[in-house]
Amino acid sequence: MARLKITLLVILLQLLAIDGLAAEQDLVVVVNINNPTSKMSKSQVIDLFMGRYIAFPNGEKATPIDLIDEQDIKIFFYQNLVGMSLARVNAYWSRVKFTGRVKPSVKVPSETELIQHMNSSPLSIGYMERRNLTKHLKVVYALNE
Amino acid sequence: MKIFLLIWLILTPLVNAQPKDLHFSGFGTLGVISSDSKEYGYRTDLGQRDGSFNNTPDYESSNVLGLQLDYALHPNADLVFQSVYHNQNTVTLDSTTRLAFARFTANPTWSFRLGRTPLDLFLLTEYRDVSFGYIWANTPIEVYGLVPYRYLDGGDITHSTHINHLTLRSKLFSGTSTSDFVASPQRTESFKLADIVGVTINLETFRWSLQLRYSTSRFANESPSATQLASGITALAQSVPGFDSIWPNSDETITKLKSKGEVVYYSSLGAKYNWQQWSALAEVSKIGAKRSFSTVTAGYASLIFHGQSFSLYSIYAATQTDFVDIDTLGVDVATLASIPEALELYNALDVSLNLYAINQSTWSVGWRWNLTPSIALKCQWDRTRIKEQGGGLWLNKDFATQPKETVNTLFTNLSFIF
Repeated sequence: MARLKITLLVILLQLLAIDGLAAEQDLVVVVNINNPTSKMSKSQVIDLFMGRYIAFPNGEKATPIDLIDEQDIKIFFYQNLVGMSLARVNAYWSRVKFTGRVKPSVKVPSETELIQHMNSSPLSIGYMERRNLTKHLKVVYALNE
Repeated sequence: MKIFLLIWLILTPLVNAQPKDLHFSGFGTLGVISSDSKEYGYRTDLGQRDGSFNNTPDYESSNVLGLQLDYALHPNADLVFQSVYHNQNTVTLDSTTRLAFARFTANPTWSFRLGRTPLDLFLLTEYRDVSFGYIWANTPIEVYGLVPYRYLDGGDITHSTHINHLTLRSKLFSGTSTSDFVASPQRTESFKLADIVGVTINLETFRWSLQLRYSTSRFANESPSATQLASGITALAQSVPGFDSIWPNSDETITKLKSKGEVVYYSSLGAKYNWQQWSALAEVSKIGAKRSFSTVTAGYASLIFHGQSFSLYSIYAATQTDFVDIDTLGVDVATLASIPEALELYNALDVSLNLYAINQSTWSVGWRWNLTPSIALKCQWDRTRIKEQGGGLWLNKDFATQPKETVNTLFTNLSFIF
């Protein structure tokens, strides 16, 4: 009986759409400092991270860097960028990836590794918390602006 | 089913422990289908031999396991291999290989693929087996049941561009494809589509998309059963004196039974729209040929509500095909009945000419619950009204007697990606 109650509580919490990520995070989309791109629109960022048109505004091919698994920063990023839960983003990507439409994006395990990767890669684009910016990176789009 | 779970448990940890240039991933579905008709057995498409009759659970038809390897050769070139088990009638390397292509991405605008790619006939044909990728428990059989073809051996060229805030993606593809058709419980025939040439045009923003598809192809082989019927009519014409007066223009009937060289076209217009927590999706499709079968017009519309971790949806789907009235052949059936086995031949011809005369409509309601961001549980109830002699999508005892009936079908499945 106790197990049933716990299960029902879990279901109820899911259905009530309790969003543990409601707290504001200052997330920014960044590129390497040597990248000529200075600013991007929301639709351009969506195109890049959703595998629709993987290029910078000047037409140069881009390499989006994403985080693996269900990290809070990743959940917050997609919820704010495309208004979708991670499950819906994954469903979208499964259509893109398993039809062989585009190459899978590069995935790294943590924000620290994302920063290391981007410091040395002029054509990469990623997202991170503004407070973790380094001198090798620059902001091209801010999520809460 | 246990084997599926075991493979999944073994493979999942490997996904995050792979070399940088090699990407391993996969998808799958475990499910059960139950349909309440004694006459009609639910099947997901015409290539399926298994079906659910009389509330007997069918555990085979919705089970899918797909494994994919992506290997980056160069920043502009990569290789993709995907193997999919989806309850094929024969499991061989050829029948399970879904993707095996080399891609060259010249720039963000142009890309070329050569090898085996998914066949892009309708809105969801490319990913119909990736259940996690769509909300429903099953794609509407009114549109997708008639097309068991899964892959294209050939190549394609894709052009992507931006027009203001719109993305325009156009694809030209060409090649061949082969699939089984289960024409009766005892008879599975393989049909090859040759000279496939198709185009896909997709205009979209992230909120909406409008997609147009058109392709033509040619049947590369004859149907063994239709050839047998044609031979039977020829033999009668040669052996029965005055056969022309009993069966006028029998040559024309024989021509109708020949599929080799027949041009077949597929067309589809589909649209999607996302608005806050709602999505709408609709598609109209047509499959046509000059002589072998009547044009099949089908379509569906679906409305979906998205909660934080669940989705509720409804679908209405329908298909319409003109029935070939065998009486219009002008055969003197009374006289024909006096010739041994001739009436059986005539009745078999009726079944053959109307094999794809599909007339039915379905209301569906369903629910998807995302248990985790990569596992979803789905349940769906279909209520299908089949018109008399319009149940060609279903398994049937002899495919000759297809009474009018309303059938309830329940789907439950667990889909996942890794």
